[in-house]
Amino acid sequence: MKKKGAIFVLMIFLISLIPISIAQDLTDNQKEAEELEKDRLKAAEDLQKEKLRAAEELQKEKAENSKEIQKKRVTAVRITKEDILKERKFIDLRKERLDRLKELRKEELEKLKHLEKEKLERISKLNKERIEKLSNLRQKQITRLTTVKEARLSKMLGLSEERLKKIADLDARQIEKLSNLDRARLDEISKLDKAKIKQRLDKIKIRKVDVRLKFKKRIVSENKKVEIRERFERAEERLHEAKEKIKERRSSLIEAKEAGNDEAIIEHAKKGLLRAAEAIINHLEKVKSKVQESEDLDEKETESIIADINAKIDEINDAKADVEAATTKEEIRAAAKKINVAWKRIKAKSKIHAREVVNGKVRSLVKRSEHLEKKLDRILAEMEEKGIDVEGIDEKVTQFSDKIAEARDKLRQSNEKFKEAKATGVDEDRKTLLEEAKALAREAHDDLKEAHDILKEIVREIKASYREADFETDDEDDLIEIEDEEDEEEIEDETEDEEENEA
Amino acid sequence: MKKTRKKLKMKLRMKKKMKLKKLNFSVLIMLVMVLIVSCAPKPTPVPPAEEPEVEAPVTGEASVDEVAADISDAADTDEELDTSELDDVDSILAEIENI
Repeated sequence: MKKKGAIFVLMIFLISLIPISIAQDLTDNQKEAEELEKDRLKAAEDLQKEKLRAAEELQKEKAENSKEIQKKRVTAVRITKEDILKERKFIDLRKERLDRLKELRKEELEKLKHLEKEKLERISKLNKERIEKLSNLRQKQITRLTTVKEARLSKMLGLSEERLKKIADLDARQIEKLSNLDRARLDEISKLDKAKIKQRLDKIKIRKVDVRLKFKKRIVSENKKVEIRERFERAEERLHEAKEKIKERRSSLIEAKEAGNDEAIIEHAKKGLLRAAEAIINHLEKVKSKVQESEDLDEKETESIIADINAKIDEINDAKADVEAATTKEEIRAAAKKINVAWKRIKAKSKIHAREVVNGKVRSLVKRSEHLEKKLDRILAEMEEKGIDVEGIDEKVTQFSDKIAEARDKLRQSNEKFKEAKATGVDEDRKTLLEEAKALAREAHDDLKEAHDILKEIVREIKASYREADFETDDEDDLIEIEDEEDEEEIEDETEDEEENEA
Repeated sequence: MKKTRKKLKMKLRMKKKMKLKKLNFSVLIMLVMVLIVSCAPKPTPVPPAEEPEVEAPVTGEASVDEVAADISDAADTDEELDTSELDDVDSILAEIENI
């Protein structure tokens, strides 16, 4: 029994061992599988790492390659640029000028390398912005544009690229003419299409100014001017006195008329007439003095006006003799009528002569202002070359030019009215036209005043940053006069055409 | 005793009354002063002296200043040669023609 019990216990023990061994077996398998999986994962990881390393290496290699290629390229560009810059005409440039050109791209430099030394030098004086604008043009266009001097070139490069391209296609003669124009005219003309630009330029003449005359039509010596001014003042004084006496005589005459005193009437009328004649003569003397003093009328014009004034003075002097000889009321009335008729004619003529003097003055002022604009262009180009930059100065010079253009336009209109006034035979029309001419000349004068206020500001700003600015010396380029033949009618036509084009 | 107390009380009351009167009086005086000051004629502000007309500034550059001077000269010439200065001649001539 004991044995059986022991076997039973042993059996139970052995049976209990079976699941343990099975479990052990299972865990072994699992471990093996896990290890296998681990191995697989590790292999995959290694592979991926390998791949990554390879990719990195490849990338590195690529980067190195591209760097090398880029390096090689840069070296190639530098070599080419250097090659260009090594050319004699580049080497001969001053350092700061050469430095400006060094900033350009190879393609831009290539367009410039064909230029003559003189032209290259001109370009090297421009600022970076303008050089870039110029180098955007075709080689031929650049060659044509650079024939003009730097100050004028710089002014033209202030135009938009589109307009610049249009201008650069013109022939050298037209470009030269255009470059000599003031900013306002340049702007006006560059707006037109090529055919119209040519037409418009044909109407413009560029004339060298006589250095001795400098926009004057003749020279009056200082001594003569002093003498003439003294004569003017004497005439003014006498005119003033005559006017005072006229007033007195008039009231005395009215009193004598009211009193019915014929003797007094004759006396006051005679003296009144003589004073009136004196006033007319002195007014004519004043006009004569201004004509003689004017340097804005040529010798021929001056002589003709003075001859006319002298004839009028003689006419009044004759009438004065009649007055002095008159003894009756009828004779005095006749003499008064004679003086009155002469005075009406003289008055119209005097207005014409005065207009000739004043419009001549305004014309000369417009010319001298255009001349000052040229000086400004030269000074601005000098500043550009020296790298001096005054903010907004270019815009102010354009404003100044525009105001001068307005004055020029008003003066032209005034001259047209004046011409019509001289041509008309109707007194009333002449009077109206002369008034209109006077009003337009006054407007031109106001524009000039405004222009010079702008100019004063410009000069102050320039002098603040560029003390060496020389406004007195005249460059060859400064002494040029623009003769514009275009009349109002043609301008209107062009504006209409422009509007049509734009539409 | 009572009488003297009453007298003292009266005296105190009187004093108080006097004080109040004085206070009223001083307030009244102050008010009057304020009124006088506010009603006094205010000093009329002296008009600022007319500034002399400033001449157009010159630039110091002869070529620029000469043009500016000639611009004002042109306006003067227009006025100096105006025939309107002879309006008196017209009136006396008309008068003499009708004697």
